[in-house]
Amino acid sequence: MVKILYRELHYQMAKENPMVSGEKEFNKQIKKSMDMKRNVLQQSMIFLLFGTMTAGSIFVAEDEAMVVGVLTSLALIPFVLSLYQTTIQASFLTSLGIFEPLKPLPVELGGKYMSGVISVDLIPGFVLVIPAVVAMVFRAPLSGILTLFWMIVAVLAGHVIGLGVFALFGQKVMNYKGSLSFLKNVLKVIGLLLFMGLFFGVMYFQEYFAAYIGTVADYPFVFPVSLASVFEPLNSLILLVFHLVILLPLYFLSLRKVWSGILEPAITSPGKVETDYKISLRTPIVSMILKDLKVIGRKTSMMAGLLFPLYIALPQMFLRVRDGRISMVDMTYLVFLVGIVTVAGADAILKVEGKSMSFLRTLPLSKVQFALGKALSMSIVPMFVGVGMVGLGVYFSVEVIYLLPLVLILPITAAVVTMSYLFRYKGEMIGVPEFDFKKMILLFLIVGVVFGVVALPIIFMGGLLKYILSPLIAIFITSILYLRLKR
Amino acid sequence: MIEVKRLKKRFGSTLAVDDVTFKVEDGEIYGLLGPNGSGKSTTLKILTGILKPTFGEVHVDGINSSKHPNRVKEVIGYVPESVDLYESLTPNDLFNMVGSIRGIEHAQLNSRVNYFVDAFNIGQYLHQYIGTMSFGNKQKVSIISALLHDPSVLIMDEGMNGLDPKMAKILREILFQFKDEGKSIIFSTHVLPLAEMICDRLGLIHEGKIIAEGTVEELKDMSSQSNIEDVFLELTKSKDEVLGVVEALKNTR
Repeated sequence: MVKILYRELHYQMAKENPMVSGEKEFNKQIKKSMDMKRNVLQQSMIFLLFGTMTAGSIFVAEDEAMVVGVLTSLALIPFVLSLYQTTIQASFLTSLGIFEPLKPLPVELGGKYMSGVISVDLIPGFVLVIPAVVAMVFRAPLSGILTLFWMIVAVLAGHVIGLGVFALFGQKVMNYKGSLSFLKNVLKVIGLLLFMGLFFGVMYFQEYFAAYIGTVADYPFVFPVSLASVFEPLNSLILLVFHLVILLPLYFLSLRKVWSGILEPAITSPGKVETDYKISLRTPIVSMILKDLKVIGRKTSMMAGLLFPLYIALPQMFLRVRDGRISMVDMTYLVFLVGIVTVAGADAILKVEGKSMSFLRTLPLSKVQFALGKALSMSIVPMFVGVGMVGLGVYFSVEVIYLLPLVLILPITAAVVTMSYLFRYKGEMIGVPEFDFKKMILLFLIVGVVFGVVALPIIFMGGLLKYILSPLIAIFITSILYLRLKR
Repeated sequence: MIEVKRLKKRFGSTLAVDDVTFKVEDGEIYGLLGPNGSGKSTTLKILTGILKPTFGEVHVDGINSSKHPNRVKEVIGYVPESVDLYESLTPNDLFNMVGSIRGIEHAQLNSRVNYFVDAFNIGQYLHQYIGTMSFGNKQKVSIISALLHDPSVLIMDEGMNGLDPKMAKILREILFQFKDEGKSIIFSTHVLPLAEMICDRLGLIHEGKIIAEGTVEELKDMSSQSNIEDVFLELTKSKDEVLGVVEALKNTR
């Protein structure tokens, strides 16, 4: 069943891919993209390459503390990827109507099929940590096996939280848009952030206990810091069982809730219904951005994907604010980091279209309008995050304000680079280009190179001029790419 | 005016549209009839600039649809067969989006939305999310979206799908009004009496080819049949097959 659903998902995606023109190419593309084993293998190879680089440090590390440090940070990668992929895909799969044919069938727990299809895409993230596990097996066999199980816990935890986000926030259907819709959406985002921030909160408490009680530090109890226990096999095993005892029932509970939500979404209606048409005309690009934000506003779990830059920035800012030290170098690094992770937002912003692409194609919307609209939509969250960071940074160091132009332009540059790459084909046809992990990594690298050029004045120049020159380079590159897209 | 010349569309080894030629004059309602999979929707998608033809040309109001798809979309109103609207938007949001993309003026959009919302009686659903609406109401939203910019050419692929008799009558009146204003309309349907009722001329498409064309009376004469259903079965050479199946069903009772 998972194979059938996976094929259906990729068939639907290939259908909306404007890069695939002509029947021959389409057939070739669907054959390629529906091949589950090939896709997993191909993406896993790239992740394996990255994983091998990180595993080296486990081999050479002299003390165990250093090894567990590497493992803990490494475990966060499959965790975050799993969380991200689950929230985005759950919403996308439902909006494509993949499960509609299953509804009339006597399926007991259909949520397991959703989990299965999503899990296929979680394999590469897990493969990334395999070299580290192998390195651990060579170092201490029992600890290595425990590391493997902890990495499984990492994927499972991300998946369970992702399903939880979808079940709790993504499936309630409001019948009418009430006057408090905007406020409700804001509250949903806050709820979502609190939910997603649970782990960071737990990590903080862990540190707090470690600092003030001391003894707890020997027994780190919550993932990912619990990974530090791998050199104490018995403790680690107990902690593993403790995690599984919590995660597995939550997993099955989420599956049940997800499926009941798919079968019959909870519909609520406000008391008073408005009947007047409220006209608001804008330019096509602005209207596309507003449409994207409205759709994402309702698909809360998809919003979780768009908020990705926030998960990167929040903990970093939190640590710096806690220490009461925010240097210009730190802030510059963070501003560029948030700019680069803008790329990840392309996934959510493209998947907003779902099946409605066919409707959009009936409208006279040009490729450049569509692509630019998408680029600006995906830049909004990182821009707000950046402005927030700078605002906070100014409190500690006034000169951080010089980074404001970069904060505003870097996400747009990253987004325009992304869209120029994805919509690089000739012709006016609009659609949803394929955007998988392979492309995401490639785009991270391309944007990294572009940002390297943008950062040249900051690295090599002194004075204030560098903070003017650097954004100007970014604006220049963005304009060139925009013109190329328009061609 | 719509001119379709020697249109062909190939999907791999399947020739979905095979040398189709027809013309729809200004102020004419042209019915495109044909069995499932006969190539109706593919032909209409090429007309609207959504698909490119493998061969042949389509001109809508003198604009080549494959060379200038967006210019054609500006003059066409198209109601597709399947209603795939943004389920997370309300009709109010959707009309504003369509109006913005089409560059419709404020006053015109306001008056046209209000006019059609009243005509199709969907005022109470204006702020309801499309995803939670009934199929019929979604179809009404789709039809209104296609009419907002006052298109000079209207293409409806199974446009009456999901409409109740009252709304179907209202839509018919709107189509007649369009016709009186000198606009061209192509209407594809499976409901043959409906086609007979509203279309000035019919084109019968079968296995990608136009096999007969003319007014209802001309088609009746052509096939020596007295009702449109029999005309359809006769011309698509499926009458004997249908009678055989009906007979077999009777015998299995």
